[in-house]
Amino acid sequence: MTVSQEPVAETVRLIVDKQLNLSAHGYEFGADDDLWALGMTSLTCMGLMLAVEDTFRIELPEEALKEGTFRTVGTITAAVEAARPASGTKV
Amino acid sequence: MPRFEPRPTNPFPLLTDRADGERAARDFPLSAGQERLWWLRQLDSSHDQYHITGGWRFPAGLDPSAIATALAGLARRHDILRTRFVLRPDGTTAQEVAAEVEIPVVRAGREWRAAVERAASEPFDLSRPPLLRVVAAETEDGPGLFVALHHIVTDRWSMDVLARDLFELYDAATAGRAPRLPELAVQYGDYARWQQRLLDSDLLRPGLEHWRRTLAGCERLELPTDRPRTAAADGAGASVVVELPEEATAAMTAVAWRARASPGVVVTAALVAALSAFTGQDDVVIGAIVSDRPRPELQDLIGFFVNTVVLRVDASGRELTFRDVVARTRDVWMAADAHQDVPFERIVGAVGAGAEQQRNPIFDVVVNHAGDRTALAEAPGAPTWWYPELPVTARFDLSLTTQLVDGRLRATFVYRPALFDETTIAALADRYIRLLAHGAAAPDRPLHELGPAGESGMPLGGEDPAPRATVVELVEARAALHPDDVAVTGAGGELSYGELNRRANRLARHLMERGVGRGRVVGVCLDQTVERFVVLLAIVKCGAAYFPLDPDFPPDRLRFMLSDAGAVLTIVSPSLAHRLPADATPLLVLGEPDLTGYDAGNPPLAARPGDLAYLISTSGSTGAPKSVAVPHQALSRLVAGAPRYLDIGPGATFLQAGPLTFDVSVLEWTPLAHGGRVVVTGTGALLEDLEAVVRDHGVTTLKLVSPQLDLLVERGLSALSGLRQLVVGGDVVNPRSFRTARELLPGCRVTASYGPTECTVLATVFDGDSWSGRVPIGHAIPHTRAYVLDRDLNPAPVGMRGEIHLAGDGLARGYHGRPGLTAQAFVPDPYGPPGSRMYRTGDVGRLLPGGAIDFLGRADRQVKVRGYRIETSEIEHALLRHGATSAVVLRAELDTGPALVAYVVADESVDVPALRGRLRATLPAYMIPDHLVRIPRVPLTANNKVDRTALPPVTPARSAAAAPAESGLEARVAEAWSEVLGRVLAAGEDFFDHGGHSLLVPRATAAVRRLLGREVPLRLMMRHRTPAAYAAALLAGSLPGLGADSRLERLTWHSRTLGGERRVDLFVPAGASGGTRLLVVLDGSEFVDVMRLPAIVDRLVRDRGVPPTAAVFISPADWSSRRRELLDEAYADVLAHELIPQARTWLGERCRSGRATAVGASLGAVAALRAALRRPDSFEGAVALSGPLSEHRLGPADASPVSPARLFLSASREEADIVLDDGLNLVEAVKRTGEELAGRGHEVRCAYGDGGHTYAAWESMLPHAISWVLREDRARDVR
Repeated sequence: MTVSQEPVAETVRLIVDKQLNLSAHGYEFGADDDLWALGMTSLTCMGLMLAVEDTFRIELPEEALKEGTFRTVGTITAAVEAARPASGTKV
Repeated sequence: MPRFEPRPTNPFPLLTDRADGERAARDFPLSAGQERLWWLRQLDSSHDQYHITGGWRFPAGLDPSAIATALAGLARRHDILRTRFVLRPDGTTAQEVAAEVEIPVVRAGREWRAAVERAASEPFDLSRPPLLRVVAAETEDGPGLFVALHHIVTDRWSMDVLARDLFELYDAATAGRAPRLPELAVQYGDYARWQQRLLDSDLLRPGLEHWRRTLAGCERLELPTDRPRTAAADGAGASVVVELPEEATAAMTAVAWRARASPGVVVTAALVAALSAFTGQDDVVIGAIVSDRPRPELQDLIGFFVNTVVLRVDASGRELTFRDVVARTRDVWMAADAHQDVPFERIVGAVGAGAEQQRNPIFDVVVNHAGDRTALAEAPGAPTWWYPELPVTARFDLSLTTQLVDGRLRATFVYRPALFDETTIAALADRYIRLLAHGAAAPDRPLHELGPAGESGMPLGGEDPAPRATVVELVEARAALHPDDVAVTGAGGELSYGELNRRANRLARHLMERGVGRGRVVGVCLDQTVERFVVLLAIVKCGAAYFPLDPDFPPDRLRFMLSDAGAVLTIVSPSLAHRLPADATPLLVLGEPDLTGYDAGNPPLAARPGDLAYLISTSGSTGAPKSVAVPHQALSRLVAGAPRYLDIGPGATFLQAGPLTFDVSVLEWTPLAHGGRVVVTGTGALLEDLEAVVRDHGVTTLKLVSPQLDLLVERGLSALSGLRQLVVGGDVVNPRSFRTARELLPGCRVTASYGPTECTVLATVFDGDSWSGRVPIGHAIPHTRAYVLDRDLNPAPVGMRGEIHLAGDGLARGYHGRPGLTAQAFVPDPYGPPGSRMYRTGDVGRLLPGGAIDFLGRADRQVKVRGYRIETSEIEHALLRHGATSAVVLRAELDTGPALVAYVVADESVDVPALRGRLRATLPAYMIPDHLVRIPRVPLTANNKVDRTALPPVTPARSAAAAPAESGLEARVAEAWSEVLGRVLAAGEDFFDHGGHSLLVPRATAAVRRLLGREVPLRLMMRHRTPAAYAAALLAGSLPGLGADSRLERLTWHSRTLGGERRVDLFVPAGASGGTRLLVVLDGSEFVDVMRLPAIVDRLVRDRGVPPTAAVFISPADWSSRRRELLDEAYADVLAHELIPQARTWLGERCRSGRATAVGASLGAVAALRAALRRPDSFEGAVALSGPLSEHRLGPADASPVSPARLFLSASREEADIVLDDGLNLVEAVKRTGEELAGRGHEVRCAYGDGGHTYAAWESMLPHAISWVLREDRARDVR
């Protein structure tokens, strides 16, 4: 499957939403909203990391393993992009 | 990697019901966590561990009016600070938000310490907001503001919110501007209501199922405590703080990320591993405190947003690595996190974990990783956190709080000093921090390699090897040097060393002729005479091993033992010869062969150190007997070291009061080797001859086993006053007996000793003071090493539970002819010289800080009952402390399930059944024996061990739990509780074992309060957990309240017709004359015990002109037959023919004639009315309270002429809810029946009260009812 950047961000958004239960009540959040401020805990962060790695079939590199990586949908998307083989190749 | 289901969403909208600006009082349910805290507050009003404190310094100064404004603003902003918590009459709780609450500030100035301490510790009244106290202090470092809140309105996160809001409000007030704070979309009450909607829905069912599955069969973690657990734990705490260096902390964090875990998971994993080592348990169940603000709208609220989850981590596996534990802990954490919406109490109820008073359900250890904290503003002059020093409170037995401070992980262990010594917790903390450091550095090494040897302070190796001279050489040397000294004395005279040696030499030469030599085994069956040592010495001189036989064993068993040991000959005393099988080995009967012709000089030394000296058969509780084979070098080790702890040299006279088949008899070699003398004589099965023997032979050194000492202490120790040393053997020495012996025998050294046969009689001795209520087994004797090792055979750190292992020269060769069994029990000693072995005792112990070993029980005597691992010795100790002489506690499989049975020996002054009540004061409920059986003495095996098979079986007359209620009150309490539980609870069944949990207690108690119409404390249920016990406790305080000359007697009566022994109470009024009236009261125990009718009648007679009246109260034989009895057609006749005449006999002159009045409630009302209507010859009237009257035929079958009766009928208005079989409600039935009876010419009064179908309603109706039916006829005429 060919994956372009937009769908990555959208998929990350969906994962975040599911892990944090945000839009269940119509709560909207943007790519730059601080997830820690939206109620993410270190445990839900772990679940988020596992789900991201699972979904994109990647292993985040050592340097991405820090709280900052999971701060926003944007930062997660960037980390996923960086960890994936060059964009546009088959996964 | 497993996939994780995220936490299910609460589908209900989180809304506020508050119109803008509205400040009206409103009420909300409590959140699940608040309910728990509210409940804990009810349990104990004298102290409260659930206060949250904090403070700040204001370097720029503190403006009093600005802070007042800020606090007022804070209270306006956060509803929770204006909230009161109340219990409604139906047993439910509510939080009500008041429109306005003022927050006072205590201005303590420089004397702030006392004010701060008071604010922090004084219990809050949860119904009086604000649950926030503020102290303004002038500290040495400038002004400070201290706050203390009840946890029910706050949590740690909230304290950051509170600080932020307060400072902004303060700044705004100082600057005279509007505060800039984010608007709060909802308030705490909205959250609680939102949460309750989820809890009330069916959506948590899968979550509850998850917990039920996860916790099935879980084992409670049993921390080895330094002091026995008592029922009365207070909130006092102490703490031990350890830190992980910065570098290790960074490594730990990196490991966490790499393992896809959080630091919180890693610190928990290390705790799991440390606890597993500490307790020796694989199944590690702990609690975790999680901060939970599941919606963004909740981030800025102050309130209690904390959940408690249970973490059950499997720590089993020989090669388990730190990474494994981290992964397992992570998975457990995430599953727990996803199911945290199920309130802890529901989990407790679902898994039937009970609510142990003063013990947390399910777990005693809690972990709390303080996570993402908001920092205070860092502007110059901004307030900084200030934590004045305050006493530590412990909410759990042990809790670990971790937080990152300046890049280092700080681990704070808070514990209850009532249970643990600081050294114990320090050892655990040390273990913890090492595990974390090593685990972070080498996450893939098996954990058992991380437990470094030597940290325990265990003495390792290095002791000098024992001298190798055999007892043969030592006794021969004594005989050569001091031939005339007495060696053996007792029955059959005395033997000097010279005589003993010469006679042994002759016999040895004879034995050699008969083929006895090195490597051979000779059976011995000897009576207790001085000849014993001639025979034993002769055998060992040949180089052979002796093998004592118990003449009381059946011949088949003796035959088996002899052939199993490969005995070549058996030497037997003449009196015992007939007991032995003639065909097993050749027999040598002492005295038969003429030995005079043999040379009396020493034969050449035959025995080498490695040759066997003796075999001792240890029967074991199961399976075939096995014989422990002990070589000379092991015996030499015992003998060589003995003078260092035993008084057995020249001038000493040694006696041990056990048979030769018991390895304690081997100690008799020690005086023989060192020039003392041995007494060999019978002392009687119960040591009845002991005092005479001690006196006659001048015994100086006496060796007893623990039950023997108990026996002597009971009898008095005066006859032993000449002793120089008393040695008490056995793993559990009664500390009371030990102390008594020390006190009553001032010149005597009292020593405790411990040692299995496999380690040649003794392994450790203890001479010191008794320690924390126990007598430890002490230190290893010379040439011996004693280890306490964990499962991985690593030394258990100080205080941690492990198995006792013994090593050194004293080890037996093994079990004779049982290589497999030997290899299991004797294993390579990793701490000894190469090739050395150690013996696994199967005993559980721990190292005390001083290096002594504390015996904690047999590994196989830890029993599991109702999910608790119970050390029976702990209960035995408690029984001993409460006056038992000796005690044995077992787990028994009864028809009703597993139960704890205590067999107790006690003198007559001890009330054995009452012991249970006294145990309750010191032991947790799950350790209270289900059955206490008094026995005359503890049956002992031939080897002086408790013979468990000879204890009488427990045959409960009937299952105590399922037994029917014995009284109406019990039955009604059971009924009320059953309703709350949603299942039927029998009178003897524990509420908390049957799905009950603490949050149901208010409702269950409210039901009882309604029933009785009086206040009942909530905590009564925690102490009295079955309806039967609860009913008894309810009645315990009620006094009859009678006038001076009236009396109430309780009698037992047997009715010919009804059968069964039943309770009858008789009320005899003061100053009664021949004209005394009589009440016959049905369901008597309830009218006497609960409604206190005797006092009512007494008062009516004294104050209100009711004529003198006696009363007989008849109770059903048991509650289960009550209904049948009361509705029996013949019941009225029984009352008329049997009870009334009997009552008149009891009352004698007072009450000769006249008719009686029947009184009853509910079904009793039916029976009372029937009595009055069917037996007008005996009854003149009746009181019928709340009777389902229209359901039953009341009058006589035939339409006999009406004899007018005076009938009082009543019902309570609430009973209109009770619909009877015929469709009428109870109130209508009373009304209709009253009209019918009046129509038939009876004098009827119908009265309607309040209070429902309860004792309270009836009790308040009784004065009116009784005075109406009993009033004098004159009054009747003028009504």
